[in-house]
Amino acid sequence: MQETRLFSTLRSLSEGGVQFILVGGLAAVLHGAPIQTYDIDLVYSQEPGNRERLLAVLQSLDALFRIQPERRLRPAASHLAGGGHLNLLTRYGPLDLLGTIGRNLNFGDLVSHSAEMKIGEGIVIRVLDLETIISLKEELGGEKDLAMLPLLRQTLNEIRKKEQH
Amino acid sequence: MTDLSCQAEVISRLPKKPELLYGTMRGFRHHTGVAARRIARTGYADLVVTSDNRAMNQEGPPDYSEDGVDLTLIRWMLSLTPNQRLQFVEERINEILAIRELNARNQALFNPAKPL
Repeated sequence: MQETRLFSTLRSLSEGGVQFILVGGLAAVLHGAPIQTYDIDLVYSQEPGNRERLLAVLQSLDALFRIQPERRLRPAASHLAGGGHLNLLTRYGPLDLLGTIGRNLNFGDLVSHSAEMKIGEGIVIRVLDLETIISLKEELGGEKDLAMLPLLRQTLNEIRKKEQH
Repeated sequence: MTDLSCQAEVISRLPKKPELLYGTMRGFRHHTGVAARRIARTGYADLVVTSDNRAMNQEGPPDYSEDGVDLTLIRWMLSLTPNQRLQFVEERINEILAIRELNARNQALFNPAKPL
């Protein structure tokens, strides 16, 4: 059985010097939302040097496109330059790379809505704040996103209450 | 009150005089019957939010939000570090994957495909 290693993926990206912001379910989990998620969603910086670093990490993780895995299509520099959504499968599990999110918000737009978070010894990653995660899910309005909203809103309420005390 | 604590309370109140026991046992059956019907009707959530909990929490924050979100679970998650939260999710995923794999193997073992 292939084990999912969320931490190993994030460590590889961090150690590879990739500039990214963790978004989606896992970002919500890191903020304290008790939800179950299976993949890593991240928005990466489109700066050419960053794309090169990202591609090197993807190669080290044996990343393949999840669509038609039997064809073993590997992501290339041109895919990363496209800025679209790349749904990949690495040796540590599913990894979704997003050039933009919501209303075409890119890495630069989201930096001010994110904060650095220490997830292990010497491993610091940038995570989208919970307020922005909630507003993006409200915007998307999909059934899955709407179903998650009460939990995310209550998590934000509890964080605020905790900060007040 | 949960099913078990209901029974424990009834047992602790058993009368010393044997002639009063029959009436108490009727009450006991009534209590447990009510509990069983309540569980069947409302499901697991009602077992978690017990009247005992509600009594304990009269002075504290509520266990559930108005829209049914388990706030105790959120508070527990917030008590962990980001690293522990990540580890928790990772462990659950791997457990689910292991169960699915085991289940697939057992399906093949106990429910082999019927010949056409």
